Amino acid sequence: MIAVLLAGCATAWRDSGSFYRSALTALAVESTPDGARVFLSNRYLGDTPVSTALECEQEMRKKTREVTYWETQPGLSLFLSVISLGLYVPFSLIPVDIETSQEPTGAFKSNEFTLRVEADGHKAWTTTIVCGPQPAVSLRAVLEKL
Amino acid sequence: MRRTAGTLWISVFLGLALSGCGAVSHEATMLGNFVPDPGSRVEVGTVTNATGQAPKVDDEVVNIEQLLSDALAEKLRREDLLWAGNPSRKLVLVTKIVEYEPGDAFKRWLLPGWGSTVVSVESELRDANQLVGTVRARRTVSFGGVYTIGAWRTIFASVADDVVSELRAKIRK
Repeated sequence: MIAVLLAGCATAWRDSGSFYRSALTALAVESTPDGARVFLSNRYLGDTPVSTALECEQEMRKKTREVTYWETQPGLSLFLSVISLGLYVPFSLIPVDIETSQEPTGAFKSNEFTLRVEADGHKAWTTTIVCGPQPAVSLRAVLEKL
Repeated sequence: MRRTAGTLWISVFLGLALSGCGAVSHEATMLGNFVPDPGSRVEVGTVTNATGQAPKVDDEVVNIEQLLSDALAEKLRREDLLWAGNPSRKLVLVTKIVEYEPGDAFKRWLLPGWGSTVVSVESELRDANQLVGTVRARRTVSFGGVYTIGAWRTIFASVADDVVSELRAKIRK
């Protein structure tokens, strides 16, 4: 209980910039007719049905704040309080240790891919896939006969 | 008896104050169904500074990318995981330093937590340029005295140790 109260002392979160982390989206492509050739950004991927992972970059926002040592190292704080016969306790209320947090901003980069599906005797089927927070994308290409 | 107990308290306190300590966290995740081939080796790929700052120690800019790159290579070598051009399967470890605070040993000595040295890294394991796994590790040195003076540098060896221990657990010999 005391530790929880002591851990309550903290400064406000402040922005510490951002960075990009790789993120994967599973892609599954089927077609009518079956066995069509699939090209992802002009690179041959395989014949339908085919699946792969699309890689894009997700922006992560960093935040930091100062917290008490009770928040980050409660066991050691208690130990220091005991071993110092309580002398450490008032100083331990000063929020000086660094706590960080990361969360996605919802922004992505390098996340657009062109998908082309071709089959002999049919018109090519093309679409653009934009990767985002969704973990998977499933597509069914219906090719028109020439 | 009282004197012995007092000596013990002081010894423990001094031991902690001299040696220093902090928080450690690390985890590795293999993506999909990827299982590294036994005997795979790891090449240290690019290490980038994603902190948005050029950290300074004693008014000199520190090349933290090089410090971490060297530390990773050394730890991989010790674990017999470093790729050295041999025909074994090669995985590439691409790393970002996402947080770094050089800290201050004098502040740590005055008040635990103050002047903490912090490093946080995110590594991607790539097989033929395909992302197959991630390793995240964070280390702090937040308490201690004289032996933590060089923590701004030695923390890279510690965090590299954490990353490589995670890889060792995933890649069988």
